[in-house]
Amino acid sequence: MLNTCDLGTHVASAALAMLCASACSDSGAVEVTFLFPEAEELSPLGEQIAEVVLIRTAPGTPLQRTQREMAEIGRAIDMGFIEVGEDVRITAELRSPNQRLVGYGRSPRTTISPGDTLEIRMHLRKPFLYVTGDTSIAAFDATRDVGEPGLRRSITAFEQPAAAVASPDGAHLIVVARDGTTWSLFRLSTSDHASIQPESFALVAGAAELQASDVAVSDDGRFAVVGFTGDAGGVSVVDLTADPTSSESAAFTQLGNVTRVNIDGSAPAHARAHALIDGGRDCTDGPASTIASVALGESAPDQPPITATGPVSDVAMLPTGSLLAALPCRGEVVIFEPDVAPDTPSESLFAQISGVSAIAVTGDRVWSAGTLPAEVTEPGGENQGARLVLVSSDVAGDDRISVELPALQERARAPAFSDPGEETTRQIDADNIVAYDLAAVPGNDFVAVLTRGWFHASAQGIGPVFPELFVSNREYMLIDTATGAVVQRVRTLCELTAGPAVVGPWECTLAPGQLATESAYEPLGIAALYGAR
Amino acid sequence: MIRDAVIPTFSLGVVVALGALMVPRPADAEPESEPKRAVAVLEYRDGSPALRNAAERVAMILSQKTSLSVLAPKDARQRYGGELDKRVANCAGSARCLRRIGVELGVRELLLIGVSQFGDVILTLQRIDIQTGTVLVRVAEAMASDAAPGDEQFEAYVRRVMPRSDFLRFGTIRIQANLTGATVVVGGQKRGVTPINPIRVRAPATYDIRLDKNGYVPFRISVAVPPDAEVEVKPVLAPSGAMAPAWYKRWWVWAIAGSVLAGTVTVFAATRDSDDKVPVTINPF
Repeated sequence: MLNTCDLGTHVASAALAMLCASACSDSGAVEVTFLFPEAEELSPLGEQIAEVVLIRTAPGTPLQRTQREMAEIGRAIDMGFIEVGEDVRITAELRSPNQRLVGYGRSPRTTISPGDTLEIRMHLRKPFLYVTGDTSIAAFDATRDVGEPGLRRSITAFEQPAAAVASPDGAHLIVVARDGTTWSLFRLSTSDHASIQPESFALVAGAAELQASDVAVSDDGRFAVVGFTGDAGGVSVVDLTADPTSSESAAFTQLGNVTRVNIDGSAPAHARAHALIDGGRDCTDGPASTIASVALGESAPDQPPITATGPVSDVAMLPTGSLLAALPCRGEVVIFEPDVAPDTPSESLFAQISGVSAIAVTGDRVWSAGTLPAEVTEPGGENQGARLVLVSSDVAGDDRISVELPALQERARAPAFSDPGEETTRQIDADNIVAYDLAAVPGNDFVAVLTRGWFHASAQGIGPVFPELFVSNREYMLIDTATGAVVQRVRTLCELTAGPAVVGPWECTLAPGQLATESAYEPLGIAALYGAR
Repeated sequence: MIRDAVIPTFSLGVVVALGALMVPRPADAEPESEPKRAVAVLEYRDGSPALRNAAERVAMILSQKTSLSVLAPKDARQRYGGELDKRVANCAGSARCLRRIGVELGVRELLLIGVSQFGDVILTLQRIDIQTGTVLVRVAEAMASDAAPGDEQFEAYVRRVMPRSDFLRFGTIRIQANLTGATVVVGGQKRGVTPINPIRVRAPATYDIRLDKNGYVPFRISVAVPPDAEVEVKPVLAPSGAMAPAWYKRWWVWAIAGSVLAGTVTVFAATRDSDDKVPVTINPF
């Protein structure tokens, strides 16, 4: 730190900054108050905090980042000065001694004026990821590595939770789950992972035959949009500020088989939801996808649907209001400009990514997950299984960073011949592996994916001694974006088929660094607290 | 770049920014060093549970105290795969065998931390050159079975096996003044006149910088230079006869710190250069 304080000369000094914070503040001040979770095990205060960071963002102005070493809990921290302005958003990061993000908070957009004293309150939370698709929600603590306690918690408050998204202020997890014979939208406190706001929003009457596929929330927290699959599917638009018991709090629009939803909230009055219809990755028989628009804001204009040239697997919104779409069969991420005239080409290339299957936009970064195909050489040569690739760029497609993950393998084991207590294990490369959902953890240090993998091993030996093996699995992974290292890997499903052989029977076992859930299930979606997908 | 975000336009004052150092820059104060030497720290134990996390602690000391690019055991396992510990164990301390692991890890050297127990605990540190597959230095230390050496003791072991030059770290001061011909003095040493090349200095350390030119108010500043980082100073020397502004406008107040993350030095600064900024504090928690 700068530490010279020499009055009468031009000397930069942190100590002086602290003096001036009190001596010069004749024109207003900003106080930031952190609201921590009630449950100790969910609180960043249970972690070792070495550094606190404040980041100021506002449209049209440069990002301002200020950080301080965390000297002592229980004392106010002078963070210097912050520029006044409108539409200012302040985010806070707490980092551990090894720079791992252990706490994160984000304020609503606000105006900071020179003469005002303003208190900004924000919910400080650990970076949690929530996976839906079982009879409970699995909450993964991104501050933990495999083997550390507290990595995974179960939230058992819901019957068949299908989709979830965190509210923009981080206070709630918005959960779509079955509620008897219908689907409802619940708000779960992120403070204790247990409290649910008493009133839930009933989404669509008689929707028992529908399956909720996705949920998105607008940037101002006013609207939630829920997608439903099936021919009678569509979207439910929920006004979160309305009385949940009112019939006008949720409205269903039938659109067809909606697999993904997103909200363009770049201008609240023109806000609208985008629904991906017939989304998928089937390059052989899959239908061309359509993206339909549903108005949310009072002044949102009508918008014709966009028909893609093939299957679209995922959509995401750029801050500019443009729509990103992942086209896995073309290996392209494209930009659709929804507002252009019907006869105008509305599609432009954003990035080429092999087998791109999932995308997310978080702040100023775009994340994409794709697949590098398996490399199979002649017999006796070295094969390499399919691998995931993560690509990050800025919102213009520049500053591109690509991280290839190591080839992931599954393991199968069987008793070895007749020797008791001995067993044999086979490592099986992936023929294909697809990230079908992706969520970026705030700070961009980690990205989480849900994957489906297909693994295959040939028969070996005369007999054969070892059978041909097929494995299909589902996994959750948390990936360190700087290194590509998989820091959390949890398998939720492993289905193994083995041909006839001398050695058997075969069953799935764990690879190093891999965990497995007690019950098998297919994860449906993933959400990151304060993150994006 | 974040740097752009923290260097507003000034009519008078100083801008100090901690800039990204993605590429080594030329320096005239210290000789250019090679790119960071990559060293992997691995652990091999014969079943002894003593000195838990010994290798991780050694890796942390190397990361904090040296200019090396250190691959800690945990990171090495992630890079290499789950068989690493087994492969290391199978090598049983053989440098030629371990060389192959080093090649696959892409490092120049391995530092093998061995923990054995024959009544006493035997801690060994072997520094292995990957190119030749030879042991450069080997030290062994015996201690009681319940010994718990502290970080200082571990650092002492590390200093016995690593060259002294590894413990030197550097940063860079980049000076961009508003005029040419000003004499630059850094840490009491005259370094030249503006425009001046980036100056490479030992880090972490705090340096007094002075710029002088006849007819101008001398410029003085004290800057803290973190290791592997660049501190950018943009002094503005004012004519000595110029009207002095109000005292609070003469003070350009900056707070600087940084952290190295994935090769980038993060920039931040806070200043009050006009009424368009207000102080910000975080309430106690």
